[in-house]
Parts: sequence; C-alpha cells; structure tokens
Amino acid sequence: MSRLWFFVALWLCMAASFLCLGRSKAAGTAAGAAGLEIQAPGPGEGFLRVPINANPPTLDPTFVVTVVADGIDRRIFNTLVRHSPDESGRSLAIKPDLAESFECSDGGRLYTFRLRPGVKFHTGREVVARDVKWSLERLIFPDGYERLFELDRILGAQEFREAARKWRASLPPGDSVYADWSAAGLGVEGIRAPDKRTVEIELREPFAPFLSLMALTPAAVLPKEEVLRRKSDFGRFPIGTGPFRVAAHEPNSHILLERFDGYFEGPARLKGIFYRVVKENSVALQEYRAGRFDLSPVPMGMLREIKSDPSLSGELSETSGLSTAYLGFNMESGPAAGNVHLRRAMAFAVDREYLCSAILDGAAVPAKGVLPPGIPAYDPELKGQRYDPDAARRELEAAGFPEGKGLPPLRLYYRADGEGRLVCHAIQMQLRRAGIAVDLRPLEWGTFLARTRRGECPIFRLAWVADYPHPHNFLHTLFHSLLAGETNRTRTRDPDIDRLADAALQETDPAKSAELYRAAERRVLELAPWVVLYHGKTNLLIKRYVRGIRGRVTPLDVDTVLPGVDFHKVEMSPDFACAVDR
Amino acid sequence: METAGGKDGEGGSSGVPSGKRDSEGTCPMFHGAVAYGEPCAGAAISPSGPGAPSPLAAAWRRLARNRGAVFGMIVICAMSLAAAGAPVLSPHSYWDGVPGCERLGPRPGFWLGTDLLGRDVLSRMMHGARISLAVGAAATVLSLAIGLTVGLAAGYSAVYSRGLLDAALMRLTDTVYAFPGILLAVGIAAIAEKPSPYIVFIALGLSGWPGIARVTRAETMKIAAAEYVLAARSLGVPTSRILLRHILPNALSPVTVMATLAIGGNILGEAALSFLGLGAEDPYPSWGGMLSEARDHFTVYWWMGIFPGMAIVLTVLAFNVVGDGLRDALDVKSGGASY
Amino acid sequence: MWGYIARRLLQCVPVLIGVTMVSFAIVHALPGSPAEVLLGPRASAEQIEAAAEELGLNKPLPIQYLKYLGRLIRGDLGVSWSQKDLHVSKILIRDLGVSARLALGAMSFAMLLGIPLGILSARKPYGKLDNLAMGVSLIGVCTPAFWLAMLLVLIFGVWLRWLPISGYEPGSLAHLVLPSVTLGAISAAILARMTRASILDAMGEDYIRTARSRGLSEWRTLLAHAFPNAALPLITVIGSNLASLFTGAVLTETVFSLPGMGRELYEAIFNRDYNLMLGCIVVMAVIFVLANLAVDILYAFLDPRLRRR
Repeated sequence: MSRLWFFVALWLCMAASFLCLGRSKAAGTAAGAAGLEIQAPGPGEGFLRVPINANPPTLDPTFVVTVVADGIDRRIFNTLVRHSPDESGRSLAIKPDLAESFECSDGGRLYTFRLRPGVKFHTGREVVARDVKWSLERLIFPDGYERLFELDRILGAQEFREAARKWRASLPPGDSVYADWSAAGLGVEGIRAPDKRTVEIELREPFAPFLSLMALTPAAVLPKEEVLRRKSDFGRFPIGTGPFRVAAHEPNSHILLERFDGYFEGPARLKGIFYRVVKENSVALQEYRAGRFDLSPVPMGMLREIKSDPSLSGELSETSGLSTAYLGFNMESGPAAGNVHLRRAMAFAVDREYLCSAILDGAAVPAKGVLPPGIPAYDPELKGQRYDPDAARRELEAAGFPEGKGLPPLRLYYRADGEGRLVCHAIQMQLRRAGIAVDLRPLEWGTFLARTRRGECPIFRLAWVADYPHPHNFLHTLFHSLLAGETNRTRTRDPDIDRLADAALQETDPAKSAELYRAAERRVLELAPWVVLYHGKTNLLIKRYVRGIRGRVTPLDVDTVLPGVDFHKVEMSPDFACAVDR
Repeated sequence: METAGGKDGEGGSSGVPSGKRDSEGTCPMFHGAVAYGEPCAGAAISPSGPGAPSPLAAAWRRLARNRGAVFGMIVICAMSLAAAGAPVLSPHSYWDGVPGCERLGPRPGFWLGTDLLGRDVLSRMMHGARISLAVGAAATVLSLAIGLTVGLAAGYSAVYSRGLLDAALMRLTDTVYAFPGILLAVGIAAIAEKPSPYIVFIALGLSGWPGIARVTRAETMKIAAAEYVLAARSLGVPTSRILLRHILPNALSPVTVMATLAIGGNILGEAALSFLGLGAEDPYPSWGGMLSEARDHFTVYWWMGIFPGMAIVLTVLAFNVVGDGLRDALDVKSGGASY
Repeated sequence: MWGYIARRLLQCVPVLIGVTMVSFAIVHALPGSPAEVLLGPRASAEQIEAAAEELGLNKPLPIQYLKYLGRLIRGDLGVSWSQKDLHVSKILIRDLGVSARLALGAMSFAMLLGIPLGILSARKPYGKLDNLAMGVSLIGVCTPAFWLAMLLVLIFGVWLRWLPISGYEPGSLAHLVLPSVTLGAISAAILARMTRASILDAMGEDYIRTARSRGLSEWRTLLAHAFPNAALPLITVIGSNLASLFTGAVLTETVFSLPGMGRELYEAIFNRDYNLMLGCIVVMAVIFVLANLAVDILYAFLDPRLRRR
C-alpha cells in the first residue's frame, strides 16, 4: 500500500510546487521593479496592448537592429528630426522633433540644429547640445554595430573611430561600449555643440539623405550619465526623452511602458503601452479577437477572410510599406551570371499579380521596379518588369534555351520558415510553365544569410525594407559596386549604375536628383540582377475604440510596432466599454 | 471474480483459444498496445489448430483474428499503397496548383480541398505519406538497432559483471538523452548541401534510441535477475544465447510498446522538423510540413490542417495496434514466466 | 546509499563534458555568425569580423572549448549576444521557472488523468470503461502535440473563449491550462497504458492469486498488491518524461508563446547566440542527468532486489 501513497504524495508534491512556483513569483510583485511579476493590463485600463512577434535583443538605440526594438524605442526616445507624412499624406517629410528648427548651409555640408528648450530626460535632467554630440559619437564609436555606416561622411568620423579604437585597446576589456571617450578628450571634429542649444554637424561632402539619417532611431538622444551608470542594463531599462518610459521588461515575454508626465509636448493620453511577445501572427489575431490585444497584424493569407467578416472589416488598416521583395541573381557566377536574356526571361515569366492576390492575399502590391511607392523618386509611369509569357519565351530563346531545352535546373535559395516559402513554390510553378526548371533550396535563416553573403547562391529570394525613405537606400545600398558582397548581395558591378547613383547623390536639385535615380533604376531593370516581385503592405487590425492610429500609419511602419506613428496622441475613446462588449 | 475469469480465459495456462477474446465482444483494437506483459495465448505450447504446420503460420492466423491488428494492417497497407503509387494514383500534381482553384473546400474533384496555391490536398497527402512513412520507419529501425544493443548489453552487465560496461554505456545514453535533438538536426541540415528527408531520418534515429535503451536495460535487469536466467548461467549457457533466447524475447514486450510509440514519435518528429523547415525538400510535401503551412489558416481553411493531422493520427494508431497484435501473436513465452 | 548517490553524481561529469563538447562542435560548424543573423542582410563584412573578434571566434576551436569549460567550472555561462549583454544565467533562471511550471503542470495533469484511468481500466479489462479509456489514450499517444495545440486553441480559445491561448503570467493558472494539457496529453496516455499493463501483468502473479484466494476484495487486491508491484515502470516513465517535458517543449512553448527553455534554445540556435545556446544545453543536460539519477535512486529505494548494487 505504501507505494500507492508514494504516488499520491509524489503527485501532491508536483501539484503543490506547480502552484507555489506561481505564488512565489506573484509574491515578488511588490519587491521586484520589473520582471515576470506583472499582470497584463485588462481592457479599459488605459493601456494599449500590442503583440510583438519577436523579442527585441536590446532597447539601447545605438544597437537597435530589429523592427520591434525600433518601434518600441520610438516611444521612449526622440531624435533631432523625424519623418512625418507630408500634406498629401502619401510620402514622408522631415519634421522637427527635438530640434525646433534646422538649416542646411555651405552647399549642403553644414547642418545646424536649434534644440527645443526645456526638453527633459525621464530622470528630469534637461537635454543639452552635448548630449546630442555624445549620442552621435556613440554611433561612430568602434563598438557601435551601426547600420548608419553613412555617418562616416561626417567630418572627422573616421579619424575618431581610429583614435577611439587605439584608446579602447588601453582599457580593461569588456565594458568599452560604456566607457566615456569624451572624458579622454576624444570626439568627432565635425559634430559641435557651440552652446547649450545649438548642434552643428559638418560633412566632408554634401549628402542629401543626411537629415533622414538623423531621423532614424539609432540617432536618438541619450543621457550619457545614465548609459555609463546602467551599462548593459540600459538595454533593458533605457532612459530617453520620449512620451513613455519602461516600467517593466521581461525579455521574451513582455515590455510595459508607462506614460512620462514630463514629456515636452505634455503627457500622453494613454496610461501606457503593453507589448507582449507572441510569435505566431495567427495566435495574435485570435487573442485580438478574444479582446486581449488592441492591435493585431493580419496573418498571411487571411486578408480575404477578414474583409468578408463584418465585425472585423471595419477594424482593418492597410498601408503600403517601403519594401521590395525580389529574386536576386548572383552576378559573378552561376548560370544566370553572364546571361542577361535568361534573367529577363525569368522576370517576364513571373506573374506578380497572381503572387499578390492568390498567395499573399492582398498583403502586398505587385512591383514593377526597385523603388516602392512612397520613396521620393518612385515613378508611377515606369513600365518596368511585368508578366509576359510571350516575351519570356522570346528571351529564353535569345538566352540559348528555346522552350527551356538544354537549361539545367536553377537552384533557388530562400529562407525556409518565412512567407517567402510559399511564394517560392508559386514561382517554381510559374517558371516551370515557362520552361524554366527550378530546384528549390530552403535554408535556415543564419545559413541562408551566410551563403548569400559568400555568393554561394545562384538565385535567392530576399526582401529589402528601407531604412529611410530615400532612393539612395535602394540604388546605392543594393547595387553600388563598392558594396558588392555586403548589402549588394547580387554583387552587381555596373559602371552606369555606379555613375548614376553617385551623380544623383551629388545633385542638389531634388527634381534632377530624382531623375538620375530613375535612370539608375531603369538601368537596374535592364540589367536585371533582380526579378522584382512585390512591395509589402502593413495590414493591421485596430480596435475601433483606439483613436489616433488608423489613417496615420506611414510607409515606414512595419508590423505592429508602428515606428512612424506618434503615440503621444493616441487615445482610447470613451465609448470603450460598449465597444468591448460587442 | 469475473475479472479473474476473463483473465484466465486469455491466459496461456487455461488453453482457451486466443480467439475467445474476440468472441467476448471486446474491442482488442484499443488494447493491443496496452496488453504489455499480458500473458498471451499459449499457442506455441499448444498450437492453435491441428492444421498448423509452423509457428509462423499460427502466428499469422492469430494476427488475422485480432480485429485491431487487421484494421491497422489495412490502414498501413492503404497508406503504403497510396505512398508507393502516389505518382500514378494521385489525382493532381503535388507541386503544380490548378489556377483558379485556390483554397477550395472539399468537393468532388478535390476531395480534401486545395491549399493557397491551388494544389490538391489529397494529392499532396499521398506524396507526403512517402516521406512520413519512410522517415518514421527508417529512423525507428536505426533507433531500435542502437537502443536494443546498448540496453541489453548494459542491463546484463549491470547484473552479472562489475557493471563497467553498463556505466560506460549509460553515460553514453545519458549524453545522447541530454542532448537536444533539434541542435543535431539543425547542425546536420546546415552542413548538408540542401534539406532532405535523410537529415531528418538520421537526426531522429540518432537521438531517439536512449529511451529504448533505458527501457531495455530496465527490463533486462529485471529478467536477468530471474531464476531461469540464473539457472541457465549455472548450466553454462553462453551469454549470447542467454541474451538472445532468454532475455531479448522477454524484454521485447515493453520494448515493442516503446518502438511502436517510437514510429509514431518519429512520424511526429518528422512533422516537427518539417515544421521548422529542416526536412523540407520543397516543394515535396510531408504531413508535418503541410500542418505548418496550414497553421496560420487553421481557423478558416480547416481542411488544410485537419486532414494531414488526421493522417498522422491514423497512421501512428495503425502502427501501434499492428505492433501490439504482432507481439501478441509472435510472443512465444507467456509474460507469466518472467519470474 | 549515500556512496551510491555520490558515485552517480560523479558520473554526471563525463556526460556533461560529452554534451558540451559535441554541442560546441556543432555550434561552431553552423554557418552564419551572430552579427549576420542579428543585422540580417544589412551586415557588412566589417561588422561580421568585429563580432567574430569580440566572441573570440578566431581562435582555434579546442582553445575556445577549454576556455568555455574553464568559465563553466567557475559557474560563468557568459553573456548573451542576442539579448544584448544580459547574463545567460539570468536568462536561464527566468526560463527555468516557466519551464518548471509547465512541466510540473503537464505531469500533474498526466498523473491525475493517466494513473487512475489505468487502474480503472485494469479493474475490468475489456469492459466498457476500459475500452473507452484505452481508446482515448491510444488516440492521445498518436496525436501530434502541435496538432493537439491547434485543436485546443481552436476549441477553447477561439470558439468557446474560455481560456487565454498565449503568454505567461505567474499569478494566473488559466494561461497554463492549455499548454499543460497539450504537453501532458501524451504522458497521460502513456501513463494510463503503462499503469494498466503493469497491473494486469502483476495480476497474473502467484501472490495475487493467493491474495484473491484469501478473499481480499477486488479493489484491495488491485491497489494494495497489484499496483505497488506494477509501480516500477511507472517511475521510469514519470522521471524521464518529466525531464523531457522540462526541456523538450519547444513546439508547445512556441505555439502558446511561453518564454521557456525549449524556445530559448530554439531561438538561440537560430540567432547563433553561442553562449545562450550552450548555456541552455548545459542546463538541460544537468536536468536530464539529475532526473535520471532521481529515478535510479527511487528504483533502488523501492526495489530491494536492486539495492545490492
């Protein structure tokens, strides 16, 4: 009999520890400033509840690399300027943020920003020009894994990095990111703070998208003393100037932001924002339907269903985004490298309308060219790449493979676990109908990135999401021979593209510059290192009682984190209660 | 004492024909796997019919009388047939969608509906059966081969030698047990030129044997301590003979439970790895891959997820009942003799 | 007994060394570097090189391994790369709490359902209740956890809306109901089958016949004599299942968005977060080894025949 009791006891132990584990954590609520110990805010408590599909590696803006961290940091930090929709609402313009005014002089080489008075960090200290200087220098500092490598165009940036690298070598290893180079007398010559409210930035040469760089999240203004004091904790509990600050942060689970009452435009209307990690978009949607989120992404292929659901269709928000999905060819080696006709034949053989309507279900719009709508040089009249089976047949013949005879199967590489997988299945279907046999090679993401970088993939499917709304970020970043093997994954080396992209950057007249970019784009399409596929759209469901998001989603906004939306003005409408009971 | 009566009725000792179970109107299909250790009909001692020329034929007859096993065999045969004949039998292509027929519900022509690309779910499932069955079976064979060897050797040496071999083998088992199979799969997949079912088969096979080894070892230890083994040893029967003739057959019943579960587990494991994109030989379907493709649309396009899932359940179920039916039919020694 | 436990603990050392060595080799054979995955297509060659330098990936593998082992012995698991500079041990302690609750919840559910079901089935084999219970448990064993999760989410989360379908809140039991059931379903089914089979096995023994002939009631025979003797296989199943529930819940944790160990490892692999990956593997290995140790000790404790070892 004793063994029977043993089992009963064993079970009781398990059940008890199961319950107790929960209790002990809950008991820590009062003590712990953060952690698992918080309850999700319920509906009607004034918190906006938002799903995020990935864990932000860090919230330290200098090291922000993911969309999610970018969007959350936008709530916590401010930059000198920001991107806002212009009057037409279709494209983005640079608007003041921490800088109340800014001007460009010396033929585009000198930028002068005048800081808004009385802006305070969450700690209560006032923001001064030196903070801006230090924050930007931190991006150039050797440990900044910056995506803003273009900041090297600031006068003295490269010299600073060299000097800082030497200086850092003399430090004990480990904490160098959190060391204070300004105390050691180092600094970037071209970034100056002549008085408390003026910041001057001098470039080596004119660089048209410079203000766009200053509007990006990594260029946020940070309080030096807090960064140095909190060290790596700053990535979890950052201090900024934004309308919200971090109240609780549990990696891989949730982040709770609360309202910062000292915000320079007045306190936000929301009490806070509750971000919870939900990997699967379909789960997020179900939680949204059950009333546990106020916002949800639309899972791939679900748009049609949502549109036909009367209770959901009114909550849908569709916005085109600044991204382009493409098939890239390795231009150095492989069957497509020396054969422009083969590349063009493939471009003609892909039915983009079908991809967008049948597979992506309206979550994307067919692409004709490299630039997505919303980018200044976007050409709505562009003929570009299009579906044309007859042309595909002709090009295939010109390529030396009439009807595909003699053409070995082409290997198409792509990320195995993304939306691209089904798209590649469909592309294989379409290309086979055109006589082009394709071998599908799904790869796990890390392997995929390594292989495409090393140039081991003859054809690959990727998507590029703009860092900032400027054609430079497409036509230079993705096709310039200087960046071949880096962001230029196709390893395109074409003097015409290089010349046009360089000239466009030097051109001060926006209209002429746009014309040069369009010429560069046409050259890219002619050379066809890419088969352009589609431009992504941001499809969201937003509860009716949430005001201030619908209609304000910008092309820069990807996913639910909405970096481009000003959350300061978002509010929950008072008729909330009846909306919930629906 | 009715339970005891029923029990005895099946026990070998009473000599009641094993067919009695069916005549009692029970549902052996649900019991096969569970009957672990249960004494089976003493057919080997007293052949079930005068016309039985060999034990194998007798076993086959017993198997044929087990309704559950017959059901399972029919399912497995049907699945295998569908798998083998998929290129000929499938009504549509597995890779080419029918334009204009995207995401259709089940209907004549597309009996199980179509997916987002207009591909026939039934055809894809038939092709998917090839991957799922082949990988599930092959990985189990690999696991069984390793697990049985290790378990027998370890268990026997634990009882009858100093246990050094046992210690070494169990450390190895623990190591593999403690090793996350997913890392192995990702590792093999990353090093291989392209994803293929072989990756899944090897990863599952190499990481699946410790469970079998542990159960075999525990069972071996139990049996090895039994008097008849002691007697055999004292009579000087060689160790290999003891292992193969006395211990292995008696250890087989729990191991069969484990192994039949392992086929299921491996079919499920294949599904999990395909879900992560590791075994996918795109656009070739597997059931797990189809499930993962369907997961975002499960609430609306239910047929994309329900049918592959049902195929998995049905197949795993079939393997379980057949495995147990086989064991009942082949098991020469009745379980009662273990001690 | 204490000597035995000490010896078993010592045996964990080679297991841990084996596990870390193999994982280390695989981890470093994976193509792609942390910077590459973290920065995505934006990574420049310089950044990837910098990441390799910072992580010490340019040194020979055996030296890297010995260094890692050295740190491990001092209890230092290093810092995570993908969760910028957070200590791996901190991350894992948090994950462990979640995984422990999930595993315990799943096993509690499994035992609560499985063992009584098995006993009831064994009382009247081939009775109606038995058929039903074994039918359900057989289907339970055959159901992919992932598919079961999808069904449960559909039924309880979407149609009935009784339970939350994702996330983790320590105070709330509701969040763990569906994951526990999903994760515990297979264990419950296995336990039910094992319990029934073991009891039926024991029922054939002489001492049961003796007990019966003494006129003991059926229930008493079952619970006091048959079940205790059938308990040993159950302990193996519970022990090893508990360990694998602890660490092998990747899919369950992913589907229900729970921040547990399995998902942490899964993501660490895909993020190429070497320290976190190895930390997870080490902790999982320790759990496995300890669980198996506990099973063996219980075996020795409960079965006098084996105690002589």
